[in-house]
Amino acid sequence: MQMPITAEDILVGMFYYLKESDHEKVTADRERLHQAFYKIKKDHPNLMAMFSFRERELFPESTQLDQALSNLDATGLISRQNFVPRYYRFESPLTSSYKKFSKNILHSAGINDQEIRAAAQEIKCLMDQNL
Amino acid sequence: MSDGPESVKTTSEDGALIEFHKGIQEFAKEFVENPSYQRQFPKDPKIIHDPLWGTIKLEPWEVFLLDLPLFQRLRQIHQTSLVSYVFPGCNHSRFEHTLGVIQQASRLIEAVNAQSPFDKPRFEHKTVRNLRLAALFHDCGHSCFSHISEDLYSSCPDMVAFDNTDEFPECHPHEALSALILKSDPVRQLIDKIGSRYEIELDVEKAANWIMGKPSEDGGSKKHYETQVINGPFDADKLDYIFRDAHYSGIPIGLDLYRLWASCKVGEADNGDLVLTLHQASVAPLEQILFSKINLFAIVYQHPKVRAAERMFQSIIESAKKSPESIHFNISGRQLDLNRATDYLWLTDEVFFSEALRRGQNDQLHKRVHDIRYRRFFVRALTISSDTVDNKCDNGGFMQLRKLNQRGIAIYQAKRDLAKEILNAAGLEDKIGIEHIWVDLPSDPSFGEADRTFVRTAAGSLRKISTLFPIHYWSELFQKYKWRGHVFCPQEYQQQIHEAALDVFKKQFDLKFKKSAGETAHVPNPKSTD
Repeated sequence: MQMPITAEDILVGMFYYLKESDHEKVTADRERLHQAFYKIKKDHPNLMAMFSFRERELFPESTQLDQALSNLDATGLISRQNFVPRYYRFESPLTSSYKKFSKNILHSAGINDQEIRAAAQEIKCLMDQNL
Repeated sequence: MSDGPESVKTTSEDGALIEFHKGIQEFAKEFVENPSYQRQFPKDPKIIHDPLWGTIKLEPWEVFLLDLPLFQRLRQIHQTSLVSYVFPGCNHSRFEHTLGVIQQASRLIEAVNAQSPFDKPRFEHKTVRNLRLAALFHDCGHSCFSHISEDLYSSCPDMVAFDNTDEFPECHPHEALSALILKSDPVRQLIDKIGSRYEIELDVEKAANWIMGKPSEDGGSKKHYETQVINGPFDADKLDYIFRDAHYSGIPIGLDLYRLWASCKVGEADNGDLVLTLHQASVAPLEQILFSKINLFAIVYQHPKVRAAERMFQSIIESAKKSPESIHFNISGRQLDLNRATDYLWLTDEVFFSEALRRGQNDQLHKRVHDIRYRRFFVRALTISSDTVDNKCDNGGFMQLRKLNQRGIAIYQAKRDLAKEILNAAGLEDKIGIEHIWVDLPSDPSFGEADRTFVRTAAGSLRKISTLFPIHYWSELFQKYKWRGHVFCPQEYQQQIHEAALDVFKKQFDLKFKKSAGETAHVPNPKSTD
């Protein structure tokens, strides 16, 4: 049975490429994350099609992003570190999860590695800029 | 609605959008404009006694609106879907909740005004009236069993078409429907009459925007504080539903509303937007709101029996969508087409149950509805949680299953496909239909409030509550330790479905379960994945 592509697969792909390029973590600051993904959606509308953002709030917020981070966290693919500022650390099952499941799902949905890699690079830049 | 040759069915999105707006107008015409329901304009205010908030005073124009079938129908919609079959006291309706929201909106407004100079209230009379109008209309777009039907009509082509327009600001579908009903021609015309009769100004556009969470603008800065009375981190809606649902379900909660009101003030965020704020020393009530919300989700809304009953309702509606000729619901001589989102507005809990009463005992719908009425619910064949998944297996597989708690048509279909595979693996496809097997994976409650609430520090600056107290930990703990998914089925097939589900999840996700997945579901002979 072919599984549908969801926000989780996009995150797994992006985080996999960050991890592969020796970036072990991403901020857990909700506002910064949502703003960064909102910006990435503007640049990669096709890749980010399943993320919708409520623009009415003080910063754009996505229910799908909240749920996806929660699902990755709850299943041990990422974990939040108990200090301030807090980060999501990429755990080792993230790599196998990408290779075993999400990679095929993303390819079947017509999303290539290049695009995911580019979005991952953009997340890294946005985080470095301290939005 | 199947109402003869006039009913135009097109497959294009434009056609669906036209049908959607037509459906809103038709509904408003019947429930607002129908001459047989016309009443005289009342002269006096009315006092209503509410078991939670005591005396609620309504102005004559509000009484006139409240008497319309548009609002009286809310008496026939349970606030908490089918929760009353598990928590028997939970029989309160959207009607009582609406009154409570009007009351809570007024209390919040009074509290903010009490912090303003006496001659310069933050909320002027006109704004207060419009906020009460928004509170009155905020849930009028709800349908049968509240949020469960919302999940069902969200996938209807007309709702999807509306969803894709710029008009849809990413609010809940029922909020969009409520706002559109308020903006419909019959309601606008009535509001104009009310304005003339009582010599008051009511701003339909503003009230509709507030319902959808859209703030007004004033010289470039957004007035979030107005919207936040109806649609915000500690809005009147939340204050009422948390108190009301907890009270009627018998789950005591502690919430210091007086402290919240005493501290509530409008402040200016860094970007110049105006927002409702709390003082740093008074954040406890907000923490109490969030903690109560977690408790209500864990104990009440996501109780396995409640979820099972909701899937049974969902299965009946799914059948009605697939075979409208054999399973249909009627109201006022109209046959509802449940492939149209706006037709759900006609469907109340009463209409749903009464349809079965008109049918013979051997009728398929009679039996299935009575299975809900008489509490012959599906049982659990498997519990899916961090505790029941074998932690030696690949976490990626668990994530692939858990991700199906997102919303969307493709995700809904994937869950139905999984149910079909389980049914086939059990070898029961000749005995029971797919409508009896459900893979149920609830969405996590949202705790974004922590990033939307500003706290005034002793130094006078504004900070988000999440930077002062890591409320996220609570949501993390909920996701890891309280969240439960299930496979549901009829009791007589519990063992077979249990074993088949273990096989299907192993094959599909390489996911293994411990024996506790069956033990917690009370399966007669629980197994672990081989």
